[in-house]
Amino acid sequence: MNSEKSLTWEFLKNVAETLDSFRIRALIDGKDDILKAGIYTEDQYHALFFDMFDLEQLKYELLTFLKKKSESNLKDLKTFITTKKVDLKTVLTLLALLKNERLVSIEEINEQIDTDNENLTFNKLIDFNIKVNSIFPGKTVYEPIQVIFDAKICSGCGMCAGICPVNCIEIINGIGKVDDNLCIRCGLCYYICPRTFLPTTSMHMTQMHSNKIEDHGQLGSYIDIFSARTKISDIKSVCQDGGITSSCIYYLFNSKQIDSALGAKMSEDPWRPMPFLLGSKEDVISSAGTKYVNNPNLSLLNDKSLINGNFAIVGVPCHMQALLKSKLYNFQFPSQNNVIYRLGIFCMESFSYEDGFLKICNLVDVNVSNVSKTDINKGKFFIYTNDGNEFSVPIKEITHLARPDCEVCYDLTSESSDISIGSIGSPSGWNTVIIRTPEGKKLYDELIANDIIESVNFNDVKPGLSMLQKIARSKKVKCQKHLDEKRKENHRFPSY
Amino acid sequence: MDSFLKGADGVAIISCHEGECDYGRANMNTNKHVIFIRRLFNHLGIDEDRIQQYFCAAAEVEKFVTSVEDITSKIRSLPPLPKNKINPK
Repeated sequence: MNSEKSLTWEFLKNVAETLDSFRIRALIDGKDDILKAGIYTEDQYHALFFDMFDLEQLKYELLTFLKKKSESNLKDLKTFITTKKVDLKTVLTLLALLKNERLVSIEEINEQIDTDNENLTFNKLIDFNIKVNSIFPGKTVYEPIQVIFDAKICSGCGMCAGICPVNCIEIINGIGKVDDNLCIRCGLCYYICPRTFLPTTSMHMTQMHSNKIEDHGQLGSYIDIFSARTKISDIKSVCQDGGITSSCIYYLFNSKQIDSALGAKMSEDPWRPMPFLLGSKEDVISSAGTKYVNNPNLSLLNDKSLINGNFAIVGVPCHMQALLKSKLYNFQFPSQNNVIYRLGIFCMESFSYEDGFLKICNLVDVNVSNVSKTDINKGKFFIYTNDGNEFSVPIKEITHLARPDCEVCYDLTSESSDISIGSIGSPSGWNTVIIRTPEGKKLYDELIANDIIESVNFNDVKPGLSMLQKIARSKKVKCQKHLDEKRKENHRFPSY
Repeated sequence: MDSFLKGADGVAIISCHEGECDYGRANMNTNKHVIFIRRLFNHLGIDEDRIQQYFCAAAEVEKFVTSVEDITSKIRSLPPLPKNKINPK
């Protein structure tokens, strides 16, 4: 506890400003509704509230600091960092928030860097030019999450539904729906949505536990990269490629590191996935295999049983982005501290069920209930049927059936996960595994030590790294193109 | 919070008893806010006794007096809060 003597008037003023923030106000006024909805207990509500308050207060401190000068740059930020004893990551995170709330405008000064291999160029962030906007009186304006749904850039990850304190959001067919009668307009969903704004620089920094602004090229930050496949025969028979994701979860259940895992399995409709809470290693077998239809996994985050034990989450890049964002903004949803592993899956694009997957099936004239496996490989979408037939469509012909929001996703390789797993770059029957964090490395080492997987150096396999980088880059370029288009036409777009 | 910014060292809110408010449930709503601010003060390291709500009916003169005495004595024992020297309003 601070001593009262060290308080300053500026501090009190700051507290007053923070109390005026709509997010804080909504949480105070909505307390009764929140507790009644039963998602958060009183203690959890207070944990959420005070962490949020602290961050919001720091945000206003930063704003006050920036207001002193007409223009600030990275050097000024460093002064703020030393006086307040916070780290650069947090400040960058807050800047992204301030920018989104249109309280400041930020111009990034980039340096073009040429890397040696295959003319890949990328921008390196070296400085900022920050101006405080004078048009807005320093108050944030509430913007409903509905704008994201309406602009069709919602990724359907389900984060908003999973954290909503009054449980008023539902994800139907991959797009959210808000129950206006229940909504308390706290704006938490907007705050945590990966498609509103995403502080990518500080996300990389969290991943690497570093405090420097670095650029991480096409694949995001990673420690190591391997090609691997499972040795468990049960998984081998049901898995998509190398079975690494299933093996990870299988091992974690076996070694009692997790009590549950969040993933997807097929629902009663053939090939329509649904969020699924895995409770044992037997569930792993039933949920193995890739589903190309998107799925709001994270909407199960409010499940009560998650509070009592550790769990792992399996998801595509948008799930991982949402999770890391919530961690960065110190957002204490009840089970936040119980997430111990985040397993990301590579994703180029996903399909919605009615408008995507069923149409593909129509294209090749297959009854959906007859499909035994789907796969994307060598530029083609393959459908295998129960009677042993194989059908394929070139990806180019079905890209227009993909979800529109996938156009604005920059992330192929789940850059925000602990371990990313996919098939691109590895030979058939193998997985490409990207180890991104120390936690991920620990898990991978354990898998090898327990003889669950076989692993080879990624440099020794064909097509290997260059292929993966090329595809990751093509997704980034495509995303940038769509973002520019949306900017030009004045449509809503996510700010990365 | 505004009072604190303008230089108050403490705030006493004196209201009617529960159910006797002229303005519906305004006294109890305020009570919720007071409880909340006290919790927040605790979190921030400010003494929670600086804000207090007392329930006195208009006729309870003695209770009013003891309430005021109570908070003044509490606040006298605390150090003064920082004041805005540049721009005192």
